[in-house]
Amino acid sequence: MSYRLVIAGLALLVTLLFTASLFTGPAGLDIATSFDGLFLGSNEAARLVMQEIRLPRAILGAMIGATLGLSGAVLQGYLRNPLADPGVLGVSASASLGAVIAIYTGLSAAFALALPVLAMLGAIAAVMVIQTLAGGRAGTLTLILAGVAITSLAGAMTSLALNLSPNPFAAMEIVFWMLGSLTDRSMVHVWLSAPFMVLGWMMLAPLGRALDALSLGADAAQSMGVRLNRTQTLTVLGTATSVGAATAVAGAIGFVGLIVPHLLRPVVGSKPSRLLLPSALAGASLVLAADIAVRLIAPGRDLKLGVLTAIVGAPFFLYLVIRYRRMLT
Amino acid sequence: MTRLSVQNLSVDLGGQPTVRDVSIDFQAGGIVGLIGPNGAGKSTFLKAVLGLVPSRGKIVYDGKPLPEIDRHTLAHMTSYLPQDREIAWPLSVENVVALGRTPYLSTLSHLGTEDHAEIERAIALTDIAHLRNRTISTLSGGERARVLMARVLAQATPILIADEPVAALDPGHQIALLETLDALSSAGRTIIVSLHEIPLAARWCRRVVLLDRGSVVADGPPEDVLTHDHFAKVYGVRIHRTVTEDGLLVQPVARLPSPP
Repeated sequence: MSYRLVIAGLALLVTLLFTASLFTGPAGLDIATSFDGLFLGSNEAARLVMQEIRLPRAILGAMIGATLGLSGAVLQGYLRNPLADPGVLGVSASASLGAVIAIYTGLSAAFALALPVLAMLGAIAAVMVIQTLAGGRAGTLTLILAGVAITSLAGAMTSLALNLSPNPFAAMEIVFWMLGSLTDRSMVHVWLSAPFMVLGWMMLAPLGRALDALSLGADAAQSMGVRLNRTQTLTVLGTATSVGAATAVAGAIGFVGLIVPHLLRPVVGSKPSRLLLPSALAGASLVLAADIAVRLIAPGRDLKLGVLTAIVGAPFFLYLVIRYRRMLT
Repeated sequence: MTRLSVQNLSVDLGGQPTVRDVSIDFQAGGIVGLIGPNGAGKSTFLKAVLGLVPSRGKIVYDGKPLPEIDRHTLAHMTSYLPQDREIAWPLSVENVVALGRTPYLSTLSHLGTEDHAEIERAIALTDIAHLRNRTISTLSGGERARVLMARVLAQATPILIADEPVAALDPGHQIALLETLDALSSAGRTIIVSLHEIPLAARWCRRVVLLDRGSVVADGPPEDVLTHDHFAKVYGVRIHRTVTEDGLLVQPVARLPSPP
């Protein structure tokens, strides 16, 4: 299949799922009312549902999905490891910790924006630690180890917050938030996170050629003119900025960044540069589809998006492990 | 003309001196072969010359010191075949060879006519045209080695540095590759290779540098370097050495009794 056809097909899929997401929800609006609510706003209730609830949800779904898919493809290429995903740097975990602190201290109850802002700060802190530990000439192994260390530390602090939580409701709220969801997000969340996600994409998108060259190892890549430090810095900062912003507004949505590049390799090939754009589009499709599914599977029960992606993603991960074991033996 | 001048180069790896005070000038014309036992510092020397490991001393390309040359510019001057034949993804042979054109492409540009011509030339020189649509992971070790060499040739640089380019190749392809490198050096390229195949070094290198424990033991034409004394001292082996109509023939034959 031609590469352009794949891109066009995926772009169409994103458009369709985005539209479907706008028309899915418990309010039971018919199509005419939905259009009215979205574009004209003559019906105040429909306007509220469409513009304040469903539109930000669909926008965030698409952008977060694109972020996870793109950063997953870049990280697998940079680390030359098919099992890498955006969580590997510890950014998701530390963004989560920031959010947990906001809930735990009651800041998020006092003003809603405290949660995404603290989550972003958590992501930034993780990046600073990673760059300090793994910056300069350090290799990919140091980067992975730094990520593991940060994930463990953030996980421990999150556990501590749960352990000492002032009341069961706070603990519940922390757990529910960590499950990952797009329910009840507003345009404020879009404005808060979108610039950072776009900034992250701008850092990750031009890395294709460097990632291709890195297929032959760091030494060969450098001899072909790749500046390793710059590539690592852009990978780390781009992932942290975009994934940090995504986690800050939606919680941790696992497995998307891991799975998407694998789904696409049989279609567009293994060359890292050819995976970037398709991964962003497929990631957007996957999160939009999953977010539609959680509304259809259990209407009114608030099934969490992160739970669904994990339930689908974990068996896929197992399948990957089995496949790689077969390749090795 | 001196393309690449190395003066008093020393490298420490993990606190161990691996290359000690090595000075070599490389010119065009004739393959320069780096030989020496395992751990002599051949690979480290080559990496240091490319700025891939930190070193002390002076490395000068075309009159310009290495620290003043950025990676991109250097990639237009030298290409490098690492000893490590890592390929992370199951790419097609053609894709791997095309990677050699990386220094000539910007983020959004595509392979042009000249790029395709260099890729085709490299594919022909390494005799891999019949493999071009195969996936690299399905090839034999020798075939992979030729594909990776084609990638280096496609970079089309005035200086070519290859770490054990003939290891894993069958005799036919070993000689074919050395013929190719010899022809390139006659056409004005500077070719530096490390190798363990002493008979090939004797036959194809115009100049041989013998390294041992990080230092240069001998540097000169094969007749002067590949001597009984040097092999006894550095490798602890006895050699057969004859001059035939095909040139110098050197073959290690037996280990010498270690000195008491």
